[in-house]
Amino acid sequence: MNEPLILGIETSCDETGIGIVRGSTLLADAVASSVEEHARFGGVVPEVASRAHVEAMIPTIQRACSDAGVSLRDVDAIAVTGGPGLVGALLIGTATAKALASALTIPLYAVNHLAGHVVVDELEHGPLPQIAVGMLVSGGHSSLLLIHDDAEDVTSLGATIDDAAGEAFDKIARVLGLPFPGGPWIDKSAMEGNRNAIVFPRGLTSSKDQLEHQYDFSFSGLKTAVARWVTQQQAAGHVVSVPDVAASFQEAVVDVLTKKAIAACLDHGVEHLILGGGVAANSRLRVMAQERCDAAGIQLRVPSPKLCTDNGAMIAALGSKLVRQGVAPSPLNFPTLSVLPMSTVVMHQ
Amino acid sequence: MVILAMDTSSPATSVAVLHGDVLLAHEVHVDARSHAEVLAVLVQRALKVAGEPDVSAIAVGVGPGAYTGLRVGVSSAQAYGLAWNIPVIGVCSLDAMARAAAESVGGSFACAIDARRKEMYWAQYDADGQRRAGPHVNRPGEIAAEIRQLPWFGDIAASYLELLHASAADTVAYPDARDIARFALHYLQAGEIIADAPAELSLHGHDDGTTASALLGQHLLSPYPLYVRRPDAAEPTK
Ligand SMILES: [Zn+2]
Repeated sequence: MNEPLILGIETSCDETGIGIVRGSTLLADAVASSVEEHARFGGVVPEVASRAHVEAMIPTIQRACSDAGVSLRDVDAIAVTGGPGLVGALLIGTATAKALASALTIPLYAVNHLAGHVVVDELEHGPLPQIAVGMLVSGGHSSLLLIHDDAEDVTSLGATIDDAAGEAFDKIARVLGLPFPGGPWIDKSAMEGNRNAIVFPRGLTSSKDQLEHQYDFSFSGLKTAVARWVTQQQAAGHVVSVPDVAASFQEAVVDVLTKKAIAACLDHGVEHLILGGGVAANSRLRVMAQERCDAAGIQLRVPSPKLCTDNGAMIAALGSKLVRQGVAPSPLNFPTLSVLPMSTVVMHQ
Repeated sequence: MVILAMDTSSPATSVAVLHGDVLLAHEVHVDARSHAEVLAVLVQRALKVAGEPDVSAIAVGVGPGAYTGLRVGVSSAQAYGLAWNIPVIGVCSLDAMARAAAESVGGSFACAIDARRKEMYWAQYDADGQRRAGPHVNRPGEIAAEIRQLPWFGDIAASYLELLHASAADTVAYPDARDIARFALHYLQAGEIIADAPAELSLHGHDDGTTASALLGQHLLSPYPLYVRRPDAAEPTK
């Protein structure tokens, strides 16, 4: 018998993503992004994102079905991001998913977006290890998770206490006069710069912070420090080297991220680290994570950049795993929550 | 022909199944914050009550109204249409309300839906229930005196009795899926074609007051929310 065919819907931020998987084989990953519409606002505007989701949803589903060579009638279950995310954006995905599942009389799984970021790696690199640390870094989240191979047992080890890592990239890009979204531009500019030119602060790494916030992140102090440094240099009449600031800022972020991720692995006796989220596409993060994992004897798994950013394939991959494990589906009246605890991988009420 | 209709433009979520002139099922749930939770459940229940008929078209109230509710209704309607491979028709929720009201008025009148921030979405209708102006969004005091003196319908109009010559008897509660269904059926049977999607689409996200004039004389719309307002977002100064 064929493995189940799962359609995944993702609308937690500014990407309308529809993914189709059969078992753990990726058949389609269609994404419509409204990122360009947000560029002039310097960040994602929830109302603009919601309007774009409504317009993109049906064409993106049709494109995914056509890419996968399947008909909606062939789909065995629907998976949808139930949270966390922008509630207005999430609602378009969940409303669509409920109607599709109900109209096609197939099961519906409302799942946790963050777990999807980890499980998506199965599509490229095979089954999850028995236990792994997941580090998810994007414009919307920065968290460290401990995830077991059934994907139902997930614990949050830490998260950002202020800005998400990607937000810090966006804000520093604006300070440096680089476009939104800032991540790719900072990455590119940093390649020409000296990452040791300026020593910026590493948030929550002092021994005092380590007690209370061992695996948490903070990027707002770093952001302020970079902005202040730039202003001071300009006030003193010095020319600011954008590549040097970009490289030094990026180094500070990546240093903290990788240090805490490796520590989480070692402290929990875990041999695998999985990266996810848009910031996982950062070239310096990938290099440093690999170096530090090698040094610590940890296996690093990083999905390809397209599967790191928000997409429907990750939701379909998680849905598929839950279906194969025989997990009960979500009821049709599940609520949509902007905050969904990590312990809830599938919503059951 | 069986029409499944839904409206989420007000605090009410309503669903109706109409077979010709016969209403087979009608479900309403009033809670401004639970459209997304209850809509699919109400549809399931209504179809069951109606005897699981083969649905030939979906009709959805596209507002104007609170955006979140509108998007839930429109996204759901589109998904049912896609899954069953049947047409999805947008109906201006004010138009459906007016068609129901016209029977009792016998002259020109106006309908309103709450737009919050002390504003309302409104449109003006002739004795036959045909839209002559709107939908617009205004504070009641900004509306021309001759329009304010017409009979007004809609629960929000009752909140401005002083300004809007509305009487409690003239108000109907919320736009309702039964009226959406009857309205869509009427114009489908009259042979009207659904407004062209691409031309409409350009109006949905970036309204600059052209929505109203573009929609005059058109009853069956493509199924996207009638926002009437632009998104509230400021470009950074630096
Ligand atoms: Zn994400």
